[in-house]
Amino acid sequence: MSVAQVATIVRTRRRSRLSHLGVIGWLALAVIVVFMFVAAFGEALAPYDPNAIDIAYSNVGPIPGHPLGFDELGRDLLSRLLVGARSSFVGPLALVALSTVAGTTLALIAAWRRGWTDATLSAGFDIAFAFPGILLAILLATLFGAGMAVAVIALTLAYTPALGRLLRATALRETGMEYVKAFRVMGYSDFRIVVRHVLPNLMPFIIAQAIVMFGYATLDLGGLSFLGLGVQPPTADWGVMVAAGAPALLQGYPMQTLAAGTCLVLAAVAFGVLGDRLARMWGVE
Amino acid sequence: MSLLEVEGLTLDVPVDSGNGRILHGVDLTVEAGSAMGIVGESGSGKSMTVRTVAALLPPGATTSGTVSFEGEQVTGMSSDRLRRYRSSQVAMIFQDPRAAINPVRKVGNFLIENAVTNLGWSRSRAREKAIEVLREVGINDPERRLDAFPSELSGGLLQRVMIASTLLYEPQLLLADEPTTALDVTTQSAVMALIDRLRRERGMAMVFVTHDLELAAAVCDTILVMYAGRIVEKVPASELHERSRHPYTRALLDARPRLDGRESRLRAIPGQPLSGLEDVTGCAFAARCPFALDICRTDDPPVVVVDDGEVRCHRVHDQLWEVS
Repeated sequence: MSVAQVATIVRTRRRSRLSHLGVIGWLALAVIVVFMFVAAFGEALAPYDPNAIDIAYSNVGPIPGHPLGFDELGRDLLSRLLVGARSSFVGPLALVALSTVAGTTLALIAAWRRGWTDATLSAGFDIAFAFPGILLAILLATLFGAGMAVAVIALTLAYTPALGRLLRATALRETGMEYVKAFRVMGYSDFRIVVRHVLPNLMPFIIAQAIVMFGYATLDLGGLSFLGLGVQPPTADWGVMVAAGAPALLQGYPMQTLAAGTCLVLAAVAFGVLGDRLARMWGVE
Repeated sequence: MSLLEVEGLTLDVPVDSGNGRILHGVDLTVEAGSAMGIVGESGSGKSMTVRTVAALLPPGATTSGTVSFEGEQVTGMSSDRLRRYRSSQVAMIFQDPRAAINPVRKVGNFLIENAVTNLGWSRSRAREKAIEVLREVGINDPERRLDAFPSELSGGLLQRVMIASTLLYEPQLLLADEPTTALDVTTQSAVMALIDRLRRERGMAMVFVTHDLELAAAVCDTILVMYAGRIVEKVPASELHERSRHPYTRALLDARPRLDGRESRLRAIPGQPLSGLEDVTGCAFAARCPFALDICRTDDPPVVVVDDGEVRCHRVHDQLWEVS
């Protein structure tokens, strides 16, 4: 093979990868990278103390040095937005991590054992899936008190069966493959076949699904914080900020609700789009 | 004691309406170092028979009868014993090597992981041995092939890799489930010759499942003919052509093209093949048999021992063919 031919192959391969993700996909990825950066270094990036109150500036609009203006207590809005990114993403991260691990484990057990194990788990998925996550969170919050941990646990109970159902179907197909039988005949242990061979083959599906789920998690946990069931004030958090800005909205000061709401929606859309594009790129829709 | 003894083996699988029986009392015996061919049309239960020997049953399947390996019941093995049985005493070569090897792991990984996990070898020893067995199955440049993905090798090469994996531990029994069906014709003969040579060199016994009567007769000592989940004839391979007696075997032999081209049309067997699932009274082949009598439709034919073979046919003594 000539050098030119090799170069062509390399180039087409690279372009095809890029084009699969698409402009929108790359844009979504860029948004997510920026958000994650802010979530990690928000405190250092914030120009002012996000909790410094100055009632004199209550609901004042953008002025020089304060590009987004102030919230109802006169705190710098940009600083609160930057610092709030962390609490807005830590919850979803925990939620996605927990429900992905739980959903994957249950789905693999169901697909591997089949028979009554599968029937029981599938029925369990369907029953749990029928409960709206938000309602479950409200129920748990009344029982155990409001807070991020309770909200994450409640939504984990709702997200796990959603992933579990989807993954079980894919895992059933994968565990029925001939190579799995071949490994069994070679005397591999069940655990080894599932963890070392079946699971890696399902990874693209799981990753794409987890990313899409992250988008939903951002919105759901933001919504719970908005309702006062998630992150508690005075911690800066986008969901909390949307709620805090609501009274001012009626008085004609939309900036806080608008800014925090935009960030939430942007994050949710970006994760949704990226997950979808990755799934398409890997052929695991 | 024979290496493998199967007696009265039945296999039931769940179907829409309860249970379906796909093996109806299969008996077979394989002596150490010998080769047995199982032939029959699709759905006759050939593959299910060998898979049952490897304790590889479809989900929800139940068996009765016995499968014993060196006198030990395979169906009664604990999961630990079963793992040792599978990893050191039997090996299976599958029909489609591309499906039977995990596509996302490298060839080297496939061979080395096998040796490390199941045989407890060190990584470096496993690697050395992997190169050695790859060379033995006729793969050039084995060091480089270890780093190849399955998709980078041809079907024939992959099947050689599969065969190489069985040579790592030299099992006493090789189960070959149509090992050449997914390969093209020239590769088929090379792969089959390889299996045959390695098996003889190492004194491994083999159960060889195929549609190809000639091939089975060439590499096996005994031929079993299966129809609808039953063994209808057992005949020494050398006598398949001249001395087989069951009408179904004869019809299969007649359905082959002839090298001298004297007949332009192949003689097909009339009617539809029967799957083991269907309920039959009498002989399973009666509906398609040109020699069927009333008794064939009502009574299950007994196993009749003739010369060195066994035949399940009511009319075995009726001189339907000239048997030399």
